[in-house]
Amino acid sequence: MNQHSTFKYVFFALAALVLFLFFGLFWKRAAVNSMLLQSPPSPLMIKTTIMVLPVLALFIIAAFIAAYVYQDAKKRGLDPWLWATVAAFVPYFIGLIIYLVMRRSARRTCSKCGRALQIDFSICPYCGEPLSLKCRKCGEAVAPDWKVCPRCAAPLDHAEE
Amino acid sequence: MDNHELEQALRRLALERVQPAPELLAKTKARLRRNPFIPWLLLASLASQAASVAGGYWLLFVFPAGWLFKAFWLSGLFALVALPLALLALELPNREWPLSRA
Repeated sequence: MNQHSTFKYVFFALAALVLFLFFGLFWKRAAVNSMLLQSPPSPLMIKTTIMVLPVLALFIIAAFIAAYVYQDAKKRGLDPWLWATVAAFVPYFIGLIIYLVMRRSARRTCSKCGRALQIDFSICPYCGEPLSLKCRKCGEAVAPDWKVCPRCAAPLDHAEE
Repeated sequence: MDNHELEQALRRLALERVQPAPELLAKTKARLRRNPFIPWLLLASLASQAASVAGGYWLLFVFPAGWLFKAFWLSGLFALVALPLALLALELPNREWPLSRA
């Protein structure tokens, strides 16, 4: 099982837990109301249903945040399920704020010709400059003219795209 | 290394681990200032914190259910909050700080 699928399962497990908690609360409230009044639908039931609406609005906002972060993280070459989980479930919008600070730029410039490029390009389409060289040992991004990886000190003659 | 030197070394190590590097702190602040949504998100965060306090009071003292139900429900809520925080704490230190823009 790779890491992406793990975070995907974590995301859906947490979403299921949210629904379980919410409907548990709603069910309990509805059960108590019908027990007290013996005539559903009672005004209290209607009141309960109205109280549910803001919570549903919160769910919809969280779903929009998760969808946005998923698409955005994918576009930027980050792990989409991890960041969607963090943004949607870390409370008080703190996960979303962390994501907005941590995310990498969606665009970058070619070091040779200076043209704007997408982040997931491995080679500049304008001048042919290789863009995403990585150290074979530690995976750190390295420049094409470096001889040694600055992170793990491995020689870079085996650098790969 | 005598005790004094060891203490100094440990203190320096603790400071280095606790305090973020100044350039990272500066870049984080720059990113926070640059994003126009951050003030609104912070406001929404404060509002939701206040709402959660009110919600907690309502659940504990108004909601018509037994303490056992409330305890189970709150433990579920705790799991819901703790799991993504644990995920963040486990994953964040392994991620490269992507600073291609700052």
